[in-house]
Amino acid sequence: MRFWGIAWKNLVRRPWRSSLTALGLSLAVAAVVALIGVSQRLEQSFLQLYNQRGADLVVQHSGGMMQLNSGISENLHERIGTLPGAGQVIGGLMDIVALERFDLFAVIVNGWRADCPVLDQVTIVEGRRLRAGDRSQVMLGKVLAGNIGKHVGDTIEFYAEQFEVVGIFDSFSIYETGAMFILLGELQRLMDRPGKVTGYVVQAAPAGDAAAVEELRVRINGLDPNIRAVAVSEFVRNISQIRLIRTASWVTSVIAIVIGIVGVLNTMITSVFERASEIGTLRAIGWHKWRVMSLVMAEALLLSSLAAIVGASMGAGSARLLGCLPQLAGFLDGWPPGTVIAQGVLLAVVVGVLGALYPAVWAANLRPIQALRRR
Amino acid sequence: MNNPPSPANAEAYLLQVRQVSRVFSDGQVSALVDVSLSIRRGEYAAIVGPSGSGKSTLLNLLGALDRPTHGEVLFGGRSLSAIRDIDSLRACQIGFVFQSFHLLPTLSALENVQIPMFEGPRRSPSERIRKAQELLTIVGLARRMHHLPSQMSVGERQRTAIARALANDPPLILADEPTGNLDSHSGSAILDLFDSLHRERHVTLVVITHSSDVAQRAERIITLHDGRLVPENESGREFLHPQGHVPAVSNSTSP
Repeated sequence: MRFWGIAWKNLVRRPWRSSLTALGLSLAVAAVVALIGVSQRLEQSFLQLYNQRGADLVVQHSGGMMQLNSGISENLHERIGTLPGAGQVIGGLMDIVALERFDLFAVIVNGWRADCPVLDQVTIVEGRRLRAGDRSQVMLGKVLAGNIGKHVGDTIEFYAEQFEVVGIFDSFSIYETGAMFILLGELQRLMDRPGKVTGYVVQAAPAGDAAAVEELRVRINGLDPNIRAVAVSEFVRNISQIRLIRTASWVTSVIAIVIGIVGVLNTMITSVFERASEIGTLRAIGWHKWRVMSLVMAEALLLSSLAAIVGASMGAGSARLLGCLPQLAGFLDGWPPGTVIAQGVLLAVVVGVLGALYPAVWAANLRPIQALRRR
Repeated sequence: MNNPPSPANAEAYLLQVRQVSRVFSDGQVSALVDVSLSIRRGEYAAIVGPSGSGKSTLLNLLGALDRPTHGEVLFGGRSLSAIRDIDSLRACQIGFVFQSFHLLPTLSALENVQIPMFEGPRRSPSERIRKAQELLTIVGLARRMHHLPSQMSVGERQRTAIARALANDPPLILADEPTGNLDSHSGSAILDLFDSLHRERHVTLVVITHSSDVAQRAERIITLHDGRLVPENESGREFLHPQGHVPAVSNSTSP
């Protein structure tokens, strides 16, 4: 018989109580993995979008907290492009619309100039790309087209207008496959923001030179006091919507963790109280305090490890399922990052240890003769 | 107050109790008053006395489960109060047998006997199992090793507890009313077991009892009354009931 065997047998002597505690802790871990996983996945997907385009800097209106609502002049395109050290510049306007008929409430609409490289970088799987002079024409990302069952030649209504689907495209980015493209001028008209873009993504030349990127950033910021250029990673980190989701995830997770700790504490306290006589026996026959403490901690660790495995699986599965929902298909993809799953597992272990600490100390400090009399 | 133990005494006596008193925390109940006694290595002693006479308190002090208010208890010539790791002493030098057995209900007999072996000399799991099997065979439970306490008779449970007490080969076994919960047949079997342990393994046995059957098996009877030691030449037989129990004593001093 091994030490862990004793701990395990103590746990399974009250199978329902142990199972329910493990389930409660599993749900806490699942909430952490799912929520934080989703927020990190969102962030990563955004970052991937910019990185794949080779973007080094994002230029937006300075002080624009809600980036979608802020706008800067379309004319800056040429001025940024002609700065020393500037490579490719892509300017675009972005909005989010609801396609209520299809139960989709957050579909990204990108407005690009007809000569925008993005239109050439996506893979056309049906129809054609947008061309100069197109009006009321739209390209749909492959996932979006699949979700709403549209093909080339069909029409789609948004902004209370009908648009003809002229092309369906595929992309490396889940944001783009779940989005739709129209020409910049059309979107400016629809959003009543003539001459404005949401921002620019700018590539530095030579690529990959951090000093060159920094120099370019300073030059761009010098163009206009109303604009601000930031590194892509900083931009993504500070996107208001992502920050909001991240904060909400952590708040929810903290609540879940506290509930988990209370659950483990309750179970372990009940468990050691009702076993006081047995613990007294262990102390009487020579078990050291630290070994009694270790036994209680081992029980909690087994419980929380079980909860960690179940909870992390549930959380990862939930996040994956969320990504399969048509409503979220454009925003989430794949499993939560491994680091988040590891965080969830670690968290369960920490919750187990914290929850068992007081009962373990209480058990270790039981005086054998008093405990033996409890029977 | 007390002379340091001489090497000769330490060699001859496993336990020495010197002017020990135990007053419980409210300061009003003196469970033991100025008790002095010595127990030789390999001796089989019975502690008798009416309920509340301080027998269990004395056993707890001998077993390092409690500390005296005054005086000192020496184990192998060393004062218990001077021993830093008292848990290790209990684990390796003392085997306890309780009236209510105190077996862990989730563990089989084989597993219960291994419990003390987690302390004491380092043993591998297979060594622990081998030792536990050997001890359970000695106490006549070779065929009941994998049974839980709830699946065993009370006599078998007490045999398991005795095997557990022997797990680390302690030189001292302290037994608190070991036959108190047993029928006469099972009780007699347990006493036979004690006899053979004493005879063959030369362990020092200190047994608390109300029972004349148990006391008569011992080489020596130590009598307590109202927390004081009754001189041995005055005998303690009057406190023993042929079938087991003494009449109640009205002025109890035990907590």
